[in-house]
Parts: sequence; structure tokens; C-alpha cells
Amino acid sequence: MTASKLASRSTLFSLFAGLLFVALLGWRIASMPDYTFARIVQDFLNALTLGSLYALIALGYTMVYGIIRLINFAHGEIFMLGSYFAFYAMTLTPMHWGLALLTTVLLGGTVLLVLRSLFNLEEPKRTFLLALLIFGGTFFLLAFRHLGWIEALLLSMLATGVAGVLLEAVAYRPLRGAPRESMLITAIAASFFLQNMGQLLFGPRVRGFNAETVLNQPRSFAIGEETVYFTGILIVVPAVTAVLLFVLNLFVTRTRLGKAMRATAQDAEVAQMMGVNVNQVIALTFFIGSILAAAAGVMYSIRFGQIHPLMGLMPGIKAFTAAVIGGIGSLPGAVLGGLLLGFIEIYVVSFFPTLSAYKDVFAFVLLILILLFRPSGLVGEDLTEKV
Amino acid sequence: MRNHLLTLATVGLVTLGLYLLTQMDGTSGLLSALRLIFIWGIAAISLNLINGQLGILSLGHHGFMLVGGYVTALLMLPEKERRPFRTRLLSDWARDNLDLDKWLRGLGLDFIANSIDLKFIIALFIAGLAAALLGVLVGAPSLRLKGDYLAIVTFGFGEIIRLLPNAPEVAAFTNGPLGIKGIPGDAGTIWWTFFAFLFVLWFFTRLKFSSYGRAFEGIREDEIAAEAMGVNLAYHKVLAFTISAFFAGVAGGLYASYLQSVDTQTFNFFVTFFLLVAISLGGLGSITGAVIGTAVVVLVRNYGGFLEQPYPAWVGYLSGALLMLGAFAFSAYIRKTRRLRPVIETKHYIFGAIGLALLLVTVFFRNEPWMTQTVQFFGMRKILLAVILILIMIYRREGVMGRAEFSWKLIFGPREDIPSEEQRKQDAWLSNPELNPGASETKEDDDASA
Amino acid sequence: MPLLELRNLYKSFGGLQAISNVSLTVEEGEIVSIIGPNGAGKSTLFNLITGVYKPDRGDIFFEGQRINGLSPDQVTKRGIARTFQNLRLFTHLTVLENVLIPQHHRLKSGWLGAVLRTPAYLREEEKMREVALEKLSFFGPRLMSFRLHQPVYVLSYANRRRTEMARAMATGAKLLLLDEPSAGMNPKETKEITQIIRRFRDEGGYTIVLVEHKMNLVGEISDRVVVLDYGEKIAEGNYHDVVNDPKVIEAYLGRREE
Repeated sequence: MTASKLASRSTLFSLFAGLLFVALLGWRIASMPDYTFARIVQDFLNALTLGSLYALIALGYTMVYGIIRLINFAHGEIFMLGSYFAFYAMTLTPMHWGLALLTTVLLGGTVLLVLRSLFNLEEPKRTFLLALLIFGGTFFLLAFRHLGWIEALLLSMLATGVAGVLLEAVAYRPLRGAPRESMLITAIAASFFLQNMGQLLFGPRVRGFNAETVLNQPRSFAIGEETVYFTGILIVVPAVTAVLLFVLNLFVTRTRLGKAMRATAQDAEVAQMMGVNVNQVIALTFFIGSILAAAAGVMYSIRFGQIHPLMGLMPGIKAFTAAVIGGIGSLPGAVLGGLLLGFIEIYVVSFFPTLSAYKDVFAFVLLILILLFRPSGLVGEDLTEKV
Repeated sequence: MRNHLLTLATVGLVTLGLYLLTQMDGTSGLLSALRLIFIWGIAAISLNLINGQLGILSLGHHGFMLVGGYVTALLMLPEKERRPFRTRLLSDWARDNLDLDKWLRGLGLDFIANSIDLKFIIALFIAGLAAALLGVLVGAPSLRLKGDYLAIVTFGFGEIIRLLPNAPEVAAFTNGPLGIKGIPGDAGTIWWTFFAFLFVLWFFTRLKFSSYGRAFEGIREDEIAAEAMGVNLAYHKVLAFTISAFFAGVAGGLYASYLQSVDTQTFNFFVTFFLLVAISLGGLGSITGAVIGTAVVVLVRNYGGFLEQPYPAWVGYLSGALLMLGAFAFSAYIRKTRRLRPVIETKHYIFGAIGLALLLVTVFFRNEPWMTQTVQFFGMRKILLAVILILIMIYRREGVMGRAEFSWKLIFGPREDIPSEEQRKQDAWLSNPELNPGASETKEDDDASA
Repeated sequence: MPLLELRNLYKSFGGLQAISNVSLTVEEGEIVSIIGPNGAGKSTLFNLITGVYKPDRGDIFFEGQRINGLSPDQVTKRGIARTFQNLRLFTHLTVLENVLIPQHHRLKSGWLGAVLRTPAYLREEEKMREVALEKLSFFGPRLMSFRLHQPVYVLSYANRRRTEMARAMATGAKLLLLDEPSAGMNPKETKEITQIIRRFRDEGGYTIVLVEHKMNLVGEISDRVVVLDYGEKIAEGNYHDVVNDPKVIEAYLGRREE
């Protein structure tokens, strides 16, 4: 199959799906008199937000799969960790200076070590500056004032990124070269471990995640005679997602490490022979994926207002479905799949309220259908075994 | 012949032992642990057929067990438990018609309907059939996939089956989130589970050491070669999947009757995870291993309760510190015995330092209120199981048994794969042309290195 | 009627034409060698015959029946068995089990009969064992005693090659496709393999098609030699004619610059 043929087939496929979607939409709107334009806009905002969140999580799945062919089952738990880190960053600050110092040393030390190994910071002067920045910054953030959601988001992204790297180093790195089934089993075990560790450390109960009221204050604007209600977070999520995607794209296409990453995704062995430090690239992949998951986690928690240790399960599964829809291993595919899944979920529930009990079932059905009939997804490549 | 007698004697002894246990006082905890071992053993052996012998990672076993559990529950539910206040969400049709008792009396088989034991056998059988049917439906489309895609598809099917009983339309058969309570069945004795377990052992051993078992293992070893040697992949995969689903359904039915209730939380993904730990621990592909692994995990779950008791917080800090220091010392020991340098890596020093710091903190602040407050480590057993599984995958992927089975020959001989003195001599004679002038046509110098 | 007949086969992968317009007939009792430079499409041809790939165009007939489009296991049931270039044995199973699995497709008992060990099943199992031993005895007594119960991964390379050939024979095939049977063997073992292949035909009654790189082996046993180059058949005939054919020499050595 030539590339152009493949492309044309996937275009046709998406075109067909899109047409079907539009037709369904039209039919449904026509048959629902109370389905006003304002509601379409409102649903659109909701869908865009949800889709962006799925896209951010899906990127982590797809990047890891692209590099080491592992379905990182524990990615949903990374997402959960991101939420909790931000939660504690917001509720425990300002800390007692002693506790802040201890946290700074432990957290900052780990962050420093991980960052050093990720970005080849061997030069003492640079390392010193970075250390100063990290330790000083962390201490300053923790000790003196109550953290807002942006600081909490940034801190949580950093901490979660490091957690992802540690997860890879502890659970997955020793299995390099093992059968893929063993890696998958390990990932499942890691997921269970983190879930239960979360219950143990953070407590099993549901907690309210009260970010600034600015983001959750109901606002409205008028379209003609109708009013659309929304909250700040519905604007913030797509905006933050767009910024992150832009940065990610720059990183992957323009920097040396990004190129090394793409080379490793193509063929890890050859990349290694060409002088790419594959372990570093894999760790970096986990770092970036976890950063994105943390961002998604924090924004998800602001959006839905509560967190609990098992919150990573369903978003994780759905984001994985999104990654598969887009074609696992492909970055634009993950974004496309995430948005698509967000739109499908919101509009299906909006059009067919009776189906909302099957919302979660629906994600699994979609996942199975895609894997059975189009495992390469919308834009992915075919990954069949050679004889 | 001797080996058959030994097997029979062992079974007899175990049965006698169990009988004596039931007669003694204070053994109810042990007996219920044994029942759980038998039930989970059946499930583990059936999962082992797919994951171990066929070499396919299936993650949907909890779905099949759930179907078995619900079918058994519905069929066995006695008249008084069928009253609407108990089964509010069940439809009238399901309440009136899905009743094994009614069916049997309708067929004029009152003598079966009067015996709860015979009824239970039939209910379990139907539960198995229902699960097996589902196995075909799930397996036939998905088994052409490979590797982790297949694992995810089976996982998806399992989760769909788990989520469905709560949906309003399906609740007419499952009673929704309320679940079904008051299921009679094995009447609290160990014999049901024990004999079912024996039957499963017998069945799966026979299957493994038959032509079909060999075909399954051929598929595991090399799918392409197996197909080239005439093994019909689709048929054998679906066959194994169906047999496995059948016994998963039976195990689900037994578990439901052990709990005397079933709801959607009874068979969640943790069930499959639990079984996965069991068979990985015992050794994927080995029936003996599946039994050993199940015994270990059930014992951890049943007797690991002390891990989740309330303790003062310093116990947690102290054990955390000791664990870290222990891991530090252990890694140093391992690296030393394997002659790796440096004996202690830099990052391990950090680990040790944190452990030491934690230890010092515990000692110095032992009287602070945050040290003496009571805490409870919920989920410690699950964490332990997850850690066990990760450690197995990293350090001993073949588990306890590898792919080997227990057999009397292994203990008492004769070992057919080890050459006798005579065979060794003959082999050397064949391999050495100087000793063997007659066979100069076909020289076999490679055999000495075999 | 020829045993195997290929008519105008075509197969391409993406833009690469792996096999184009290849026709070939193999009579019963023949030993036919397929030779050609690396990448000439020899293994692809085997994969087409055994059903691993489906031809884009053209037909494959075996005993007068069309077999293209059949899956590999069905092709094997019809009577074509193969060995693989880089050994695909069931590594963790014993030698005996390796030679029993290819007979599984002839089993008439169902799985329930096998579990219950019905007399019919036991008789079949006994017969399968006899056939296995008979096929292994082609290679002398070395695989017959204790090695029978050893897993394949402890065997030497040459013994694995022998096990794989015994496995192919045990399918009950009439036609054996041997993909580089002497790969990785030393000259002495190659000589032995040469004799064994001839005995397959003379004593076992098999028809044999082999892909081979070692020309002395090819020259010694082939009734007919077929040369492939870039997926096309460029020569066919007895060994001496073929190796002196200018087209063949060109394919192997290249054309002299004029």
C-alpha cells in the first residue's frame, strides 16, 4: 500500500464519519424543537473542553506507545497524581518554613536529578544555576503565600513529570527487551499500585477541588435573543491546550532531543547505533507525557470540582480510546481522536439523554470496534507483523 | 500404574484430611480460605489455558465469571427471595421465568428439583454454558488480533460486561446495582468447591496432555509455524477461549454461592488482576503453578488482614524506613554477589539516605501527636499483590514452576529425558567415527555438543 | 497431471514486484531446486505456495486442484509441507511433541474424546507416535532415545534442522518445500543432508522443491533447476545447462560494461 493510497483511504474514512455525524446532527436538531442555537454553542464549548482534556491525556499514551510499544495502563493514575499534587499545592500553602524546607530538599532534589539526566546538564555552572532556580523557586512558592491555580498547575506539572520518569525507571526500564505482554502486565500492576497507593496516602474519599472562583463563576453572553451560559474554565482549557500543543510541536520538530525522539520512534535499535541515548529519550517521553497528563488532571479537576484516587480510570480509558481512534503512535492523531471523542460524547448524550447510562460502555464499544476493524486508526500506520 | 495409585492415594488422603478439618472446631477460617483457594484455583486454571498454554493475553476473565455468577444466582434464587422488595429492579418476566426449580418441575424432574445439590450442579452447568456462549461471541471476532491489541479488546469486553448490569434495560435481568442476595448453593460446605476443583484439575491435565493441548502450545510457541503444520488457528483459539470461559462461568457461580450474593462490584477488573498475579506467580502455562500461585494470593488476601489494621502512625514511618534501608542493603548484597561495580550506586545512596532520615525522624519525633495518631493502611494487600507482580515480571518471569508440571515421574523416575549410561555410551559411539567405522557414511560429529 | 503447477503468478509488495509471471510445474517424484540471487523472490514463492501470501494474479494447482486463496493450514492438509529458512520450531516443546503437532490436523477425535481418552483417541495417539518415530528414524537413532523427550532448545543446530524436516514430513505431505535446508551447516553435514534429501524421495516417496544457495548440493541432487531473478524466472533445465546460461551468469555476476 503506497502512502498516498493510505492517506486517501483515511481521508475517505474520516469524511464518511464526518458526514454521518453531520447528518445525525441535522436530523436530531430538526426533530428537537427545544434544541436551540444557544445550546449547540454551549455543547460545543463543553465538547471542546472535554476533547482538549482527552487530547492531552491521549498524547501521553500515544507517545509512549510510539517509542516503546507499551500501552501505559498507569497513565490514568499519573493524571490522578497531577490533580492531587495541585490540590496539595493549593491547600497546604503557605507552609511552615521547616516543612517547606524539607519538601524543597526532597522534591527539588529529585526534580534536579531527573532534569539533569533528561537534558544532559553536565556542565557544573548550568547545574548550579538550575539548582538555585529549582530550590529557590520551590521554597519561595511553598513557604510564603497561598498558591493560585496557575502556580499550582506549573508545580504539579513539574512534579508529575518527575513521577512519570520515576515510574518508568522503576517499573518499565528493567523490562527493556522483555516480551510486550510482560510489559503490559507490569503496566497494569503499576496502575493498581498507584491507585491503591493514592487511596492509602490521599485517603479514599472524594474531595472538593476548589480553585479560584474566577474560573467557575457562571458567565453568559447573548446570541440574538438566546443566552449562552459558560464558565471561565471552558475558555481556559482549550487555550492552555493550544499553547501546550504548540510548545510540544516546536519541541518535537525543532530541537535535537525532539528529533532523537522521532528517530527512536521509527527504529529504536538503529537510533541507538546512530548515537541516540535511547534510555534518555524514553525517560523524556514519559516526562512530557506526564506533564501533559498533569495539566489535563488539574484542569479536569477544576472543571468538575472534585478529585478522588480512582478518578484516573475512566478518563484514562477514554483518552486511550482517543489515541486508538487517531491511530496510536501518531501525535496529530491523538489530538484529533481526543477532540472527536469529546464531541461524540457530549453530543450523543445531548441528543439521546436516555443513553447517558451507557456513556462509559460506549467508550469501550468504540475502542473495540476501532481495534477490530481499523486498528491503524484514522491517521496511523499499519502495524502488522511480518512473516 | 504405580503413578495412578499414588494419585488416588493422595486424593484419598486429602479428602480424609479435609473431612477431619470439617469435624474439628475453630477451623472455619481455614476452611473458608480453602474454599476460596478451590474457587479461585478453578478460575486461575481456566485463565491459564489462554494466557499460559495458548500464549494469548486475555484480560476479560472477570466478565465471564460475572455472567456465571449472575446466571447461577438467578437460577438458584429461592421463592422467598424473589419477592419484589428484594428484587425491585428485576422484571416480572425474569422473576417468574428464570427459575431452575420451575423449569425442572415443568419437565417432570421433581426428584432433581427437590435436591438442592443436583439443582446446583445443573445451575453451574448452565452458568458455564452461558459464559462459554459469551466466550464464543467475544472470541470469534477478536482472536484474529494479536498481542496487546487483543489484550485491550478482551479487557474492553470484560469491562462492558461488568458495566452492563447497572444499565436500566439490563437491570431487568440483573436487579441493577442492588445485586442479587440470598443465593443458596454450596450450603457452606467445602465439598462442592473441592470436587469441582478436582474435576477441573483432572479435565485440564487431560486436555493439556492431549493432542489438542499440544496444538495449543504449538500456537503459543510459534503461531506461523503451527499454522504451517496444519493447525487451524482460528478454531483452536476459539476452542480454548470457550473452554476457558465455561470454567470461568463455573467459578463465578461457585463464588456467587460462596458469597451468597452477587453484584457488579463482585467481579470487577481486580478479579482478573488477582488471577493474573496468581498465574504469573505460579508460572504461566503450568497448571501446578496456577494452583500454587492461587494458594499464595488467596492466603495473602485472607490472612493479610493484619496489614490493614489500625496502627499508630509511627509503625508506618518505621516500616517505610526499614523497607527502604532493607532494599538498599539487599541491592548492595545482590550487586556484590553478582560482582557488579560499584557495589552501591549513587542513586541508591539517595534511597538509603531517605530511609535513614525517615528512621531518625521516627525516633526523634516518636512522641509527637502526628506520630502517635492512629492510621489504617487500607489497600495494603492490593499494593502488596501489585508489587509482587511487578517483581515477578522484572526478576522471574517464569514464576515458580516455569512451564513444568508436577508429576510422580519427576520424583520417583524414570526420567526419560536424561540418558541412561547405556544410551550415553551408544550416543558417544554414534558420534565418534573412529569407534564406528561402519557408519562412516553419515557422520554425526555434532551430537557430542548436543 | 503434474503434482504442483504454478500458472503466471504475480505478487507485489507496495511498489516492489516480488514475483512476476512465474510458471512452474513439478512432477511427482522430482527434486526441483530454485536458485537465484538474494531478494530474487524465492522465499516469497514458497510463501505464495503455502498460503502465507495470496497471489495478486495467477493460479496454483496441487494435484489438479486450485489451492490459491487457501489458508496455510488448509494447504498443509492438502499435502504440502514446508521448512523455514531460519528454523521455526516449537522451542520449548520436546522433539516428540514437535513431531506430533503436525499430525494433529489428521486427528478425527474431538476435544471431548481427547479429554475422556476414548479408545478411538488412544488408538490414534498410538498411531501418531508410531508415525513420529518413523519420520525421526530417517535421521538415524540420534533423535530416537532420550532426545525424544528433551526440549528443542537443548538440541544442536543440526539436530534442530533434522527435527524440523521430520516435523514437515509428519504432516503427511506429499510435497516438501525445503527453504535452505543446509543453511548454517558445515560441509560434512551438508553432505549428509544431501543424502537425506535423496532418501526422502527414494525411500519416503516425497516430491521435493528446495531453495538453496550451495551450488554443489543443488548440482548433486536436482533433477531440474529453476532460476529466479527480480521475481522473474530466467532459466529452467538441468543443472549444467542452467549454470552455463549467459542470463544466469549475468544475474549472479552482473553484465560486463561494453
